[in-house]
Order: sequence, then C-alpha cells, then structure tokens
Amino acid sequence: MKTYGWPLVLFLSSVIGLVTMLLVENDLGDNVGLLLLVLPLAVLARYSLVTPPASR
Amino acid sequence: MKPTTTRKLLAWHRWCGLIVSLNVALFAITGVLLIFHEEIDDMLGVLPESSGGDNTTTLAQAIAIAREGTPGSTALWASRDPDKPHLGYVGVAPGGSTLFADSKPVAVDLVEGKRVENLDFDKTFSSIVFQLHAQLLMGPAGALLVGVIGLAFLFSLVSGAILYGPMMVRFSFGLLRRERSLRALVADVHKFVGIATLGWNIVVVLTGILLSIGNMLLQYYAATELQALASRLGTSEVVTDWSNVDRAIEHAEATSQGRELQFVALPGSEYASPSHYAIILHGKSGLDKSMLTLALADARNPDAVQHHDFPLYLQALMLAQPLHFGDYGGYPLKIVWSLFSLLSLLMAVSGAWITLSARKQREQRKRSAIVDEPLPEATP
Repeated sequence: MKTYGWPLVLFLSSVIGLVTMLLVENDLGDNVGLLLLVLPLAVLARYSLVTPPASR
Repeated sequence: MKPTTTRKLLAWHRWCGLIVSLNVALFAITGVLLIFHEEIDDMLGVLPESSGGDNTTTLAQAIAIAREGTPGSTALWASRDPDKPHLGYVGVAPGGSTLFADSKPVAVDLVEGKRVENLDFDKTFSSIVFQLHAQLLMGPAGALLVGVIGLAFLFSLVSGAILYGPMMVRFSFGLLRRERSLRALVADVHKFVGIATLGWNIVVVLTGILLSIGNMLLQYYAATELQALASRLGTSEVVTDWSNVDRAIEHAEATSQGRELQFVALPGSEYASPSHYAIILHGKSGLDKSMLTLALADARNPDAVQHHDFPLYLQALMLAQPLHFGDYGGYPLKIVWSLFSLLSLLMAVSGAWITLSARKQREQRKRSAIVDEPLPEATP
C-alpha cells in the first residue's frame, strides 16, 4: 500500500481542488482550490528536475 | 494480485489505451482550443462589435427579423448574448420542424434592428473544433461514439492505476530512469504523468461521458416530465403569436430571485408546451450560473408563470459542463486546465509508443530466433 501514498494524496488533492473551486464561491475557496489542483503539477515539475533514487 | 491476473490486465490496458490513444490526443488538443474559445472568437472577430447606443429591438422583433430572412421557416428558440448585449440569437428551422437539432442560430443586432449577415455559426473555427471534440464531426451518433471512447479511456485509467502498484512496488515515486533505454524512460514518464494526473483525468472523463449522452437525457426529459407538465397545463393548440415573449421573460426573471434568461423555447418546439414559453434561467455567478431552472409562461397570459426545478439527472448534466471544460475559475484555472490537457496528451502518446515499440521488439526477437535456429540435418 506504501506505493499508493503519493498517488492517493495527488488524486484527492486534484478532486477536492476542482470541487472546492466550483462550490465555494469566494476568493478563499478559489485560492485554496487552485492550490490543491496545482499540487500534482508542482510534484511533477519537482520530480522531473530531481529524480529520486531508483529503489525504495 | 496474481501474476497471471496482472499480465492479463496489462494486456487489456495496453490494447485499450492503444485503441483510444489517437482520440485522446485529439480530445486533448481540441480541448485546449475550446478552453480559450472566447478569446479565439474575439481574435478572429466572429461576432460584430456594437455600433453604440441602446437596444431598440425586442426579442419578439428579433424573432420576426430572423424569420424574414429565411422564408417558410419557423423559430424554435431565442436568446440574448450575455457578453455582447447588443446581440440576440434566434434558432430558425425549416417549416414544420420542432426539433432543436434542425435549427440554425441566426444573429440579430438588437441596436440596429437587423440580421447579422455572413455569419454561419456552424462554420466558425470554435464551432468546428467543438463538433470535432464532442461529436467527431459525425453528428449525434458521433457523440455516442465519443461516449464509448470515454468508457474505454476510463478503463485504461483505472486499470493503469491498479497496475501502478505491482509495477512500482520496488521503485520510488517519481522515478525517471534517464540512464537506461529510451523505452524505460518513456515508460517511467507514462506511469508518473498518468498517476499524478489521475484525479483530474477521472473527473474530466466521467463528465465527458455524461455530456456525450446529454442530448438523449434532454430528449428523455422532454418526452416524459415536460410532456406531463404540458398535458397538466391543458391545451394542445399551438400558439404562434409570440409578440409577448419579452413580457413573459421579464416576468419570469422578476419572480425568480435574480435569475437571468439563458434561452427561451418557443411554444410548439420540442422543449416547450404547445401554449407555453419554456424560459430557461441561470443564476448570476459561480455554481448557480451553471444550474438552470425552468419557468413555464402562458403564451396567452405571460404574467402566469410557473417555476420548476430540473430533475436530478439533468442537474448532474449541468454540473458536468463546468467540471469538463474548466470555465469557472477565470484565467488561472484555464491555464491549469490546459496544462493537464497537454499532460494527458503526453500520457496517450507515450502509452501508444511503448505498446508499439514493445511489439516491434518482440517481432525482432522472434525473427532473430528463427535466423539463429540451426537447420535440420538432411536424412539419408
């Protein structure tokens, strides 16, 4: 299950981000939602630049 | 998971992914264009700018103007442009047709009181891109095909997420093996991008599948609940005098707690009763802007308006629209949406490349095995 740690965080982050932006109609909702939605992109960028060691 | 199950699932994932990869690439590219369709339309000058001044033409007059230019036609719906208030649109269909699918939108300049010439909405760049994205240029049947492709893509996503576990069990998250072969690197990129964008992809694919059957859901609603409402309201005689449509809209808006006109289906059309305007209203901001409600106004007495909510399945359809197109959070969301779309394009292309190159490698191995095999010795 350890393999699914990061994937689960990113999955929930993007889904909650999308829904928060849609349902919470104020600046706070927009900003928090966008931040959550951007997290997978940020993680992709981070790991593309610095590759972790191959094995666990 | 048993190794044989993993192998079978991987084979299904590869083939399913390969079959839908071209379509997913097409959806990603057209999707990015559609995210910016308003900006593209503005840049191409699709809609004329206002000549200035107040609107002097009512929607009832706009309907008459639109029909004048198309003799023998009937009008099925009308609306006002929320971003360009000097423009009104009228859906005009060949005489006798009540189907929205048969209608063509005609733009009317509400300041100058004349039809906008040389504007065919079916031939604008955004419209062609939309038809390609939503129907593969094949009409309503194409929408169903898009739905089937969406289901296959959903299977690829879910099976990919299941396979991610056994494949990555010995490796770190985010691993990109740059020092190994090109295929190993592309496979790592495919797995990494696929798992990181899974949430966004699942939401967009599920809403896309729902939107692909949107027309069917609308037709089902028109044939059941709307029909029942119409028969409860009485007459079957079609009212053809629409001169009071503006009064009906005004009254519907005034009694709807600040909602505004999306469009009005005229009496006799498939989405209205024979003697009532079906006035579709939207909220002013946020989620409420996407959630539509129905006001039925008597075409003989426009002050008699009844408000109705749409059933849950149509509300789900309305909710799917912003979640699929990402048009509810301004420019920041549009940019993030485009990046996710381009990543799904990368995922589709890399997946197809891995499957095809693995197949090529297997065939090469088979060929070299045949060459290396010693010839059977001749028997005396």
